[in-house]
Amino acid sequence: MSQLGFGNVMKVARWEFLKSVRTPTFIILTLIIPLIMLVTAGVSYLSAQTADSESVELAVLDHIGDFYDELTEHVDRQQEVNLTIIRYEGPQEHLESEVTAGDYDGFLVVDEEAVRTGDIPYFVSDIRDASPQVLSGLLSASVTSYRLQQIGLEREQIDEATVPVTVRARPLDPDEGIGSIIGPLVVAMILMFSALFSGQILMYGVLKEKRNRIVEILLSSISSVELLVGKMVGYGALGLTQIAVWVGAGALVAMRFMNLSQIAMGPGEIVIYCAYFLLGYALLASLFAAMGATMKDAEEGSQAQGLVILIPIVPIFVSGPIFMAPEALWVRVLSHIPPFIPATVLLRMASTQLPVWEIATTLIALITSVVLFVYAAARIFERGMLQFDRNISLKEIRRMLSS
Amino acid sequence: MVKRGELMAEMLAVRNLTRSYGDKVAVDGISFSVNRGDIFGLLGPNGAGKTTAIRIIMGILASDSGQVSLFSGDGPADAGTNRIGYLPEERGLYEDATVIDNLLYLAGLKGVTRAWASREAMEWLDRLGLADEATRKVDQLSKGMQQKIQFIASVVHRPDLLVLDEPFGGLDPVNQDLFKGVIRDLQEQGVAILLSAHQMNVVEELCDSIFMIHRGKRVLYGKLDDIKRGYHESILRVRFAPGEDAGFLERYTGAVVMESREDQVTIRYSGSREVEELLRDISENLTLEEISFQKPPLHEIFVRTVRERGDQVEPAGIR
Repeated sequence: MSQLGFGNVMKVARWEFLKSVRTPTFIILTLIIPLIMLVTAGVSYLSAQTADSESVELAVLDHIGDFYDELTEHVDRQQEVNLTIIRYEGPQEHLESEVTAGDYDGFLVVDEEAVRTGDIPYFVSDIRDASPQVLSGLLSASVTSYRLQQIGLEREQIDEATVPVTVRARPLDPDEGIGSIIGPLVVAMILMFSALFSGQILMYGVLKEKRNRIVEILLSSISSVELLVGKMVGYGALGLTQIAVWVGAGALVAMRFMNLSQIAMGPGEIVIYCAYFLLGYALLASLFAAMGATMKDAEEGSQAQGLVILIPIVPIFVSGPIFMAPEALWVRVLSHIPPFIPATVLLRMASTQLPVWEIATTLIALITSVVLFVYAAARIFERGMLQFDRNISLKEIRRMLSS
Repeated sequence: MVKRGELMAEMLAVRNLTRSYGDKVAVDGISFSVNRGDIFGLLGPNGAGKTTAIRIIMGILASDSGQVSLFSGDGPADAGTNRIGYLPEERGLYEDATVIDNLLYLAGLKGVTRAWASREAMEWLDRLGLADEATRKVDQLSKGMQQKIQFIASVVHRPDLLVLDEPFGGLDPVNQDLFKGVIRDLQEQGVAILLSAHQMNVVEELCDSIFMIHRGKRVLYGKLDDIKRGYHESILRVRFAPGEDAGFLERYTGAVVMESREDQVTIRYSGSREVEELLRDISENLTLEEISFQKPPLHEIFVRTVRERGDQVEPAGIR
């Protein structure tokens, strides 16, 4: 195998980075994600603001007579919905006309039967505007309270008996907040997107160099390993630039719309995530580069590339079971199979505290596989890059690796 | 200009180089050397093994056996590829980058500084009439211009050994002459030039020494003049007064008429009679208007040598 010189690697890396960072594809993709983040967060925020400012006005046709007072008391206590209720004294037909005319958003009909069965009719002019789940909690509490009153309990007794029950999960370790789930998930997504995007540009770059025949000039000056590693470094830097823009934009959006302390990460975590990203990227990049070197043109590239993209994101497809059972044997095994390591480990880190020994073994497995993948990719790259007019068969690849 | 003593410095030596692709032997035990200031022709039809040999010399391919020595006794051999310029047969540039960026990047890979490369590149662009195109993107240039840029990329770092694989392919006659002039200038500056081509007539004009290769094996190797001198046939072309009889020429032992017209005859001659004697007979029997007696062109020597060995030469393979 050819030699590896740092100077040449950096020359190639610099060239590839500067050449690609100015391309419209990179600029658009790098800016469009923050734009989507901003628009999504902005729309959610505005919707929430609008929803808060909206008030619902309901009429209550109380055939019992004293249920309305009970309901009013519960409505006054709740804060989630801006709800106003008004007792209606006229006939139901008139009320229906007024709801249709838009004077009310809807109306409730309460009688002895409704209180007994718990089935309270709720009428709205447009069924799409109905949100009975908002009212059900309120009515449930009111009806229960009213029934207890009818039994003869005092108000204090009723209040004591009907104190609402809530279940709130609390981590044993105070650091194990929502951030420990969001952090790895965000990193896993960024890893996948950025590594795949950078890997794709790398592969198309390799194909382009084959197509325009410049590769032979390059290989007369530097070794194929220097060219391969230089490209990987260059496009890795491109990926990091992209991540910096995305994370920067994400942080700005989060500062405006979220509580940042929830997703804060310690330096140790950042180092571990960076290690998985960089090693995962190196793994994918070597795969993509080797693939580019074995293909004749970009059309062939897009078909075969689809298959290679699928391999490292397989853990994403089974993220549910991984979340549910992060310590399962099959998940642990998956965490040590090279193409699946980064995504599987990051998903597991989102749902559980990985033991140090497992972080160490997965990192060792990842580093070892990166070395082997880069070595294999360099062999394929070296021999495949000069095959200008044809695709390399699997048989030939096997021969390249074994010779 | 190079001093006379320096001319013998061996810039490239190839010894028993062999390379196979599966069962096919592409290069079969070839050996040759190129000295400073030489224009050395590596000749042969398409598929003869020239490009494989060059790729091995350039370190792009590994040989199965044999040895390539660079700059033996002439400066640091470990600088290796940085002292070589290479224009491959399959060549290209970064089409979406500017001319000057392409040249600076490729020169940078040869270890020269950006400032130095920039100055050299502009000089070459100016010399080849492309100074105004320096900041244009390569895909905006014509094919001919791109070929000039590719050539500049191979010489911009001032190599001591220049390897040109089919440099005239696709060039119009004007640019062929331009390239020939530049190659001769580089030779005068002491650059050793290894020139591979299948257009033997073009190379014949330039080369001092040649190595003819066919199916990976050596066919002929040596100084061009020596090869021609050692070839036992000559071509005799005589133009005379119309109506005169040149039939007596056919009766000479070793003469084969190649073409005969009313006032002209062309004969391939490999007989043992002295040239002076032959010329005397001709001048006594014919009213001469024009006469030439020369060695056949390289491609003919090549074809006949190969055939004498019992090999086949593909008709489209050489020109």
